[in-house]
Amino acid sequence: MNIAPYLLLAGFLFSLGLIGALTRRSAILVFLSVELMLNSGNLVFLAFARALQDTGGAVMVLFILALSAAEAAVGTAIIVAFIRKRGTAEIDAANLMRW
Amino acid sequence: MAFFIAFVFFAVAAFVSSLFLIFHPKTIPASLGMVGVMVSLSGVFALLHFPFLSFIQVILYAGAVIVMAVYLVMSQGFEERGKEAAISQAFFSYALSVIFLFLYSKVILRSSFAPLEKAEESLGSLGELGMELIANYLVPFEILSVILVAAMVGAVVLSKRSAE
Repeated sequence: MNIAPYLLLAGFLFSLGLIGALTRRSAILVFLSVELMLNSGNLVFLAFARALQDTGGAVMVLFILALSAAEAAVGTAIIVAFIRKRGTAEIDAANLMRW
Repeated sequence: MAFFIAFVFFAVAAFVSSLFLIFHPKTIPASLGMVGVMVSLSGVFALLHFPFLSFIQVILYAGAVIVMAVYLVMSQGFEERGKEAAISQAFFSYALSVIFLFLYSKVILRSSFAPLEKAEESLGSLGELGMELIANYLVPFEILSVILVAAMVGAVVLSKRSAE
């Protein structure tokens, strides 16, 4: 078995996350879909780290995990502030800078 | 062979639960779909010989991130109001991801990867990871700690009620 199935799984998850991020209505689920896309990136990193027997890829994944934890904290705070301001978490309500 | 069966199991689980995340009309079941994706992805990480990262994946995603999302839904009482995305929007996003998936899988299927060798014992172990972190990635590590502090302060400031 080589790493192609892992990479294909990552691609599928990434495109599903893309669909979710672009079509979901609630900001929370858009945020979770973005996390799904991040995680498929993690999977690619780990697949290549395993293939090349190099721990560097795993260190990258560790960084990405820490960053997404920070992102989760700030994202939650932003959504809370947004709900206070607009009374809803629907992403359509964020139209102040709409083109 | 056993590896491949386990991989197929985890992959199908991840796929199905990400369909939950994308298509379920209610927010909480969709977040539970996200939990399913994360748990099965951590299984895939373990198959790739990274037990520590799969452990962290479960704690961080299935634990922390999902708890935050569910907390948001429960405290703010928000529920998606069944309104679908506009047709043009949905069509655009589907087209974009199908094009991406087509090109990506074409690249993957055309290139030839060597079969995986047996993993070295030290690969992905906690000690090796720590050594790599301190020896080769010290500056990013320190920057990361600054980023975490900034995120913490930012979250507190953002979610504080302004004094108007």
